[in-house]
Amino acid sequence: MKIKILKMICLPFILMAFLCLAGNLSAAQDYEKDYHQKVKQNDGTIGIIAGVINYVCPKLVPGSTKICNSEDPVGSAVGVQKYMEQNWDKEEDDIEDAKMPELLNKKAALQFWDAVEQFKMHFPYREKAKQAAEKGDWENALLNEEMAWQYLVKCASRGIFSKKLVDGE
Amino acid sequence: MFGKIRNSFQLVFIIMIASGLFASVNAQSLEEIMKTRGLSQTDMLAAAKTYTPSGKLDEYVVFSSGGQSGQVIVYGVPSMRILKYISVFTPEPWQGYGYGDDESMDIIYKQGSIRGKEITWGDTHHPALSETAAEYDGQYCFINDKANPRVAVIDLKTFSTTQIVANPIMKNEHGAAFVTPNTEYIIEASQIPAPFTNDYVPLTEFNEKYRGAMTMWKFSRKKGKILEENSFSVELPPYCQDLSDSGKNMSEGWVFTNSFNSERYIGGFGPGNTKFRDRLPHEAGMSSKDTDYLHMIHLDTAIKLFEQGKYKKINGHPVISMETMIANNALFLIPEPKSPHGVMINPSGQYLTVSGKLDTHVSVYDFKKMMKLINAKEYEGRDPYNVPILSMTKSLHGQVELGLGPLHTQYDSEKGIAYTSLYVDSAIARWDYLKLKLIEKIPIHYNVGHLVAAEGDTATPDGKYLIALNKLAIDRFTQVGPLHPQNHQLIDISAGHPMQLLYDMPLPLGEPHYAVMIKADKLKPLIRYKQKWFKNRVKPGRERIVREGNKVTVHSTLIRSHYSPEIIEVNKGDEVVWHLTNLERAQDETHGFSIYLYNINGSLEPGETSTFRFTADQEGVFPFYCTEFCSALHLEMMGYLLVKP
Repeated sequence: MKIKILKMICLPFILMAFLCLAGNLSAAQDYEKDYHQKVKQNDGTIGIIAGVINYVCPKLVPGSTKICNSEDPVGSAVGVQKYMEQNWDKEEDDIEDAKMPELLNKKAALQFWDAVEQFKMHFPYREKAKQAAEKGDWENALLNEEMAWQYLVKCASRGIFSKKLVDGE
Repeated sequence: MFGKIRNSFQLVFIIMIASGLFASVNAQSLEEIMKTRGLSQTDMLAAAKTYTPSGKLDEYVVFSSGGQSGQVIVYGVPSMRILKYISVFTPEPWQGYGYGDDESMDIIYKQGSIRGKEITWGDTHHPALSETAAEYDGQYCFINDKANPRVAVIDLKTFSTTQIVANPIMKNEHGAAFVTPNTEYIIEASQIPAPFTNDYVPLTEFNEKYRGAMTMWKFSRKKGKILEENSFSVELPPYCQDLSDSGKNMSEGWVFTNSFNSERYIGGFGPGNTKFRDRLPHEAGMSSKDTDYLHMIHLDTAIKLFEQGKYKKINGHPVISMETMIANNALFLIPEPKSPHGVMINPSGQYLTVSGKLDTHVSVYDFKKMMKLINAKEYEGRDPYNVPILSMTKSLHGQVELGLGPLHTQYDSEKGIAYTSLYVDSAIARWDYLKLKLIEKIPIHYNVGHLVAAEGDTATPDGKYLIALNKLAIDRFTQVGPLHPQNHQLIDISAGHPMQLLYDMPLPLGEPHYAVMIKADKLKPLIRYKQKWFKNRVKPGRERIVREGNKVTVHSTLIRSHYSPEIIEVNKGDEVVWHLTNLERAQDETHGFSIYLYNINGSLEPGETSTFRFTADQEGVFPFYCTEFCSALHLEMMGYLLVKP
């Protein structure tokens, strides 16, 4: 019952996130305005991703690991990834082949792992966007913010996949 | 009080209606569906035995030849869901096989070419799975090409073709691919006799210069390849050798093949331009004798003769002559009912079943009796090539009348139980080859060729499922023109009840000729390639374009959802070498690579590197893009190749 309620709560958010991701198709090239809009959109998207992380995280790793912290979803996500990678020889093996500690749902965790990979990719572009904005280079600020958004989309895509797996859909 | 009663009454009434509605909705819906669709209880049972809900996996996997498509078809049992077409002899764009990348171009157009001719199709007939101790081990699949004698290796880590070898002496074959119990050798037997050399030899010299052969392809499991330099052939009489099998357990070390046209009849029907004109067709003369010959070849002796250098090279390939084989007691013939199709060794290796298509009997040979005759050198004669002939009656365990057109046999987990396809009868017979009696028959639709049972040609067959590979579907499927799909019919052969037909699967991709069925959990495919396996791997951050004279080498990477670099500019006439590495670590994140006009389409699976080479021989603008729907931003995964004048 709890799960159903959570699903009902989460689904609109996911839909909203998707609409939020797909909705901003403004053709006007007021780079400064578009940049600020995109920053808001990305912040909002990250907030929704954080909600998904908080929902999925406790269903991936045992509570005893104390990795999942709803106050710090990004830390939780990176924590799950590190937890999975602790015995991983990156040069030799694929992540699936790594000897992993206890996971509550390995299939979902592997999707989550990739979502985190995508999420991590967005950081340098947001940083570059900020730097460009500080210089008043609004076109590059927008482009970098857009690139960050691409990685958030990819993160959301895999994150939803992971959520579906933990929900057994 | 009255209110309470009324409320209770209402509650009970609502519950009654609700539960009644619920029950009737369920019951009605099932009954209605059955009634509307004309389904019987038996149909429902068959549906329940095959329906595989979303997310559930199959118990078995079938590798079926793709016939003239030159491919191998992979599907699951009992769901009969198609899982993959493995491209083998024929280019296949989705998997980027034969559309520009070095590896597949080398396999199809170089390894697969014969006498300098590129051949882009195949008539795949008999897939064989690699075995360890006569059990499928799930590592490799081998498949032959009847039309242009070749054998291919499919690596089941990737489910992709890794090698094609062309037979240097045969012009047509059939009895391939079959493996020895530990996959040391892959067997390929010829079918239509021809000279081993490539020159013109008139048919008047058929008996003297046309020959059959059996090639023993040495397989290295470590390298995952056929070692052509360690392979050899054995010369056979110019009969049409048919299907082969390798001995197992007590018959290990021997190889068997049957034959037709031991008459050596040459037809010529029709007003041709040779002395053979107006002779009756081949079909008339090739079945005029009551018997043809089952061939017994002692592989262990043949290997020793090869190692001792007792062969001559023809077209650069070692061939051991019949004379040498006979002198070393390594080649024998036994009469068998005429025009047979298949010799199948039972799990213990003692009994061989042979079915003459024009006889109603299946003949069961006893390997022990055959060996007794060989050891006593008790021959009933010799054929025109001096090959010793063993007595059929003295070699037989017995014969069983099963029906019209017996063809191919597979074995059950229950001792003595076998299944034989009956082509003319359009039926499958369940019978006991030890007690020599027919148990039951089930009709199929129609004209079954081969059949396959779960692990049915291993040392420990599973029983459970059998598939009839039927040729003429006629009325089984919605008409789609004069050419009907083939019909693979799944049959429940579980012990304890009569055989039950479960499912019809149409296969509209060539004539799937033969199949093998393996337990799904024996297959351990890769989830992705390891990037370090590829010598041309492009590491992230090291993408670049390098020009040396008129050779431009592009080192690219792909990841959701972009190429790096995305714009490449070259000059007209430049030789372009383009390495692409898919950096994805996520499962199934395959990216495509297609360029306008250059007939290039790559499929780069996660971790894979491919190299494409072409001459930029036309100036202009050539967009390239990812042909896989790899992410929400898939359409943006594109770039330009700009060719300057």
